[in-house]
Amino acid sequence: MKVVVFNPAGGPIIAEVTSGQAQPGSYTLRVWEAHANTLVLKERGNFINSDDDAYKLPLPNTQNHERIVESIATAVITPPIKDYALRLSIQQDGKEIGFEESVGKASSATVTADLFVMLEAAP
Amino acid sequence: MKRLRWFLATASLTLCTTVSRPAQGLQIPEAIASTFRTDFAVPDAPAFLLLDVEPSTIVRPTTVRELAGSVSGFASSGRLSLPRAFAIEFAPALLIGGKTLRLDKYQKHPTLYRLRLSAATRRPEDSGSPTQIAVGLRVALIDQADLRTNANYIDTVTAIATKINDIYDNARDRVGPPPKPIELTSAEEDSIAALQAPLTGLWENKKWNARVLDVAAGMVARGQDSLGRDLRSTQLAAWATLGTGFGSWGQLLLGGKIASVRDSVTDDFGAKGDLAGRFYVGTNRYKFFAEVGATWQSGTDEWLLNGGGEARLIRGGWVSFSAGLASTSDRTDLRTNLAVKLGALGL
Repeated sequence: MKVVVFNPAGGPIIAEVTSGQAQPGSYTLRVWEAHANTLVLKERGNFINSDDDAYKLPLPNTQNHERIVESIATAVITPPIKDYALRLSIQQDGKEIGFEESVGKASSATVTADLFVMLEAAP
Repeated sequence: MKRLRWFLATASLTLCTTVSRPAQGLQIPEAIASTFRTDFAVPDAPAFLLLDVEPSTIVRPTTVRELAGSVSGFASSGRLSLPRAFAIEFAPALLIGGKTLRLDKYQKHPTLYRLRLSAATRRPEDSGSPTQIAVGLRVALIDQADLRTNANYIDTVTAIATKINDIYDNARDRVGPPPKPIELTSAEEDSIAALQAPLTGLWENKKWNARVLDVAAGMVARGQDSLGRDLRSTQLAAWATLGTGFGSWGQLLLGGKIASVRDSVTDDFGAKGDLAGRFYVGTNRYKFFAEVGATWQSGTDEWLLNGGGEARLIRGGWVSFSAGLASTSDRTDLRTNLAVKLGALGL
């Protein structure tokens, strides 16, 4: 699993889900408690507009240590463009500090990707 | 024929290699994926038309794709041969920024993303003749076939995506947190396949002949020998083509072209104008057309009666053919063309 290191003293951690190649679709965003089968956060959204696809994780930042951020995202492949680029981006203080993505050329009408990263507080 | 097959295989492979990128990340295997064969026709690029590889002068409108290629000129002296004309057309904004291009950004600037550049070359039948090259650009000012700017389509497919996503989401709840993989039941796989099923029909049957307006411009240069040295411009041209649909079975294209053409004898440029109408009948996958056109040029007017068709190849790409009679005051010529057109899809 990909690990994203954040600054516990920095600003809020933001998780953003995007779909490139102008492909429509929808997603869910989950934040899993560290080493537990419980959810801290669950959001749903779509790619119709991109203004509401970034979510602040709970504060204080230290409690996000070893939490897992996951996005299950589905893109509807709209011809004639068959490329897709689903991405879960983790940001802090205006910078991307990590990401997970699924990029490729679709062979089916929809593509679903399960994207997840583990957050780790910098020492 | 063996060499021809070898060439086609090589050309296809080259195009795929150039544009395909392997999937990264954690994409869920598409074991449940329905077959995805829908594709929009690949029309000739403006640069290709400037080389007169087709009898027609119409720039056929189409929804933008990142990259497309065509090969033509398979017939030489009555026999099949290696193709003599090649063209490539690409949308620079999509190629450069496609990976991060969000839907709402595309919708705000569709003209930018629909701008396409093309280049084409036509090699001579014999080594002593000059090579021609052409460059062109076009943009779709109206494209109602462009699903990305169709609000009803976007709402419909977003709702389908949400339902598919919910199925994966419920499966995640069942298996617990990552990194455990999501495993779908056969019933869930069937549900997803059923949700995907309407999509291909939605694209193929209803949108191939929607209203479109393309404008284009281009230039041709001719070399002094077969290697294309000492290029000189021989034609500057601009087109406009309007297309409108009839039900789900027909499309009328009306096109015009104005050009400034260099006279091969006097070396002076003269005006040339074309008007043409073409009517398609069929479906997205298979269609036939009939066309009438007229050309006005100082000293020689020409009439064209043309017909042909196109069909989608089983593994992707398109094959098109046309044959027509071009008539001037003193002679009538038969003009034919066979072309293979490839989108950036991976054949």
